[in-house]
Amino acid sequence: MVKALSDTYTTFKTIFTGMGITLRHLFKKSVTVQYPYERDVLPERVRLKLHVNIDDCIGCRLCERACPVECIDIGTIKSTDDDDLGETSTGHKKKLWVDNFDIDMAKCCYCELCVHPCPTNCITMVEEYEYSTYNRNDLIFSFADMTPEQIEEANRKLEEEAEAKRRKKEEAMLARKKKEEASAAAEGEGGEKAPKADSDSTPAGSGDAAGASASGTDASGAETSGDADSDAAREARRAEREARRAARKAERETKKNSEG
Amino acid sequence: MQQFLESFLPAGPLVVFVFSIIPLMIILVYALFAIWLERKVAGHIQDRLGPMHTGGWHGWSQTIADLVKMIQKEDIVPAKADRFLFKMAPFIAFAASYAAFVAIPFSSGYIGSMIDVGIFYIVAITSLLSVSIIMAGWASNNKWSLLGAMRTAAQTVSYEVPTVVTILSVIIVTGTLNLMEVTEMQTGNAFLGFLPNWLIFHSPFMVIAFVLFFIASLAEAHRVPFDLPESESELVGGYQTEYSGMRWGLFMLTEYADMLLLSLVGATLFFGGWNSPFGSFMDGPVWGAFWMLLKGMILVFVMMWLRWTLPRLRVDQLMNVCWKYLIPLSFVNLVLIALWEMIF
Repeated sequence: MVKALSDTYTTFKTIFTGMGITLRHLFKKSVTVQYPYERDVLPERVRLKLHVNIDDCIGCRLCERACPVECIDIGTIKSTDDDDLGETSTGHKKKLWVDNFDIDMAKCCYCELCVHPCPTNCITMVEEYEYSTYNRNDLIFSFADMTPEQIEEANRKLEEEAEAKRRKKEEAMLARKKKEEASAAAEGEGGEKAPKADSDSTPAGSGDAAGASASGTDASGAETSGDADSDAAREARRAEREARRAARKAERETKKNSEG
Repeated sequence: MQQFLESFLPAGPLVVFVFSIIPLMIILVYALFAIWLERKVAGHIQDRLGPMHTGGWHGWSQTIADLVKMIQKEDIVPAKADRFLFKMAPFIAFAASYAAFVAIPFSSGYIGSMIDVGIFYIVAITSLLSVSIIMAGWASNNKWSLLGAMRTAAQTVSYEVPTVVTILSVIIVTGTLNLMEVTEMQTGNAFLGFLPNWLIFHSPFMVIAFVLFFIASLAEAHRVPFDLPESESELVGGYQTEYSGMRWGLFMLTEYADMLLLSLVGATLFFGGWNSPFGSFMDGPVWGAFWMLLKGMILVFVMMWLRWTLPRLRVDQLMNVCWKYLIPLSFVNLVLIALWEMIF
């Protein structure tokens, strides 16, 4: 009897306590975020989606190499000398056409390792998270803004330039050979130095030597003799650079060997 | 009310028809509102918002959308079910619950039928509900349904005893079974000078009687913590498991109609029915309907509030609560009220 009464008391006490709690919660502000209409405030450095500002991309592929899951695919075309691709907003000179910049967000593991190496800060994580699709292939985002015609044009120009360079190289080599022959002949004739230097310093004087040099270039074929000359100079510089690079490489190799 | 209808409606049967479907209209509108309210209450108690989208303002038309969806659903009858009983059960359930509304005085101007055995009739007719639930459980040919139905039978039979005994203790005070007369007895504000003449203020034992009645009515309406017939988490859906579409909807409607019915009976027996709490202020037939439904809705809200507060009882606890606590208490209370009536 006493137990029954005390049980009854406990029952009502606990029920009213519980009802008090639920009543308090009934008038408490709810925690719901009405999602499509309002959104949660995202943390400052959320990693949700990659975005590339393609105008700033210099095609250096550092991000592609940094990616641990290989979800970035970049294709570049070298620009020709007559094309000026301008500068990025960070002041880097653009030298490559970026004809392909695909990021497969289905593969992406949101590690943000690609973002930090970028020298122009053009690849970033953005606060966009509603990009689910029905097709996995729709998760490959293309950022390159070149049209197929532009890509074709760039490729054609590059090929033409390469062709022209090769031709010029041959021409330059021919010209050098001719020149050497000519200078050898001049040496044999007058015992002077390079005929070109003479013609530069004294345009009027030593006409026969100048004539000889002129005839030499003429014989090589092209009327753009000065261009051929600068081309030859560039060739020389490149050779020099390559030699230096080889030397450095050798140096590194020896160093490595000695360390090992 | 009948005269009022006769004044602008032509034929006799039409008047009777309109007269008799008024509670149905009230139930349907109430069910739409109550289901929405239940979800809102559930949401806010759990610090959520509940439905917010459908219809604009706080998802007010969510239930209407659900109803439209439910009507479009396929009407599935299990292959091995007893087709006739299976199809009949929801209609009998709703009919039983609706028939009880005939004796409820919605206002001083409207009561379905002025029968003298009002409250007795309500108690008797609502017993049909458990019959229909057993019908549904048996006809489904599904062990979960049958278990749910069995629990319901046990529960309803048990809880009818304290319900009837508490009602009886009120009848001792009123001396009549007619709910209209019970309500009329509670008119006025003379009690202690300002309190309305409601039966709940009649004696301290009436408060106990109300609490017992409310607990028993929770069990009768199969509400938490006595919702074992449906207990979604244990019995799949209890007797409703095999039902779908509009037939299931009818069971749902019955459940909510039952809540309203028991709340209205509680309001009539203890809280003055259609009487205004401010004496003759805001009194009259229309205000009466307002007060009656408001009191009913407050009790329905308390039922919802309890639902999201309390866990469900076990079957043995359910029987314990009934036979070891409610029934002895209600009998003692009956005797005490009778003594109080004799002395004062």
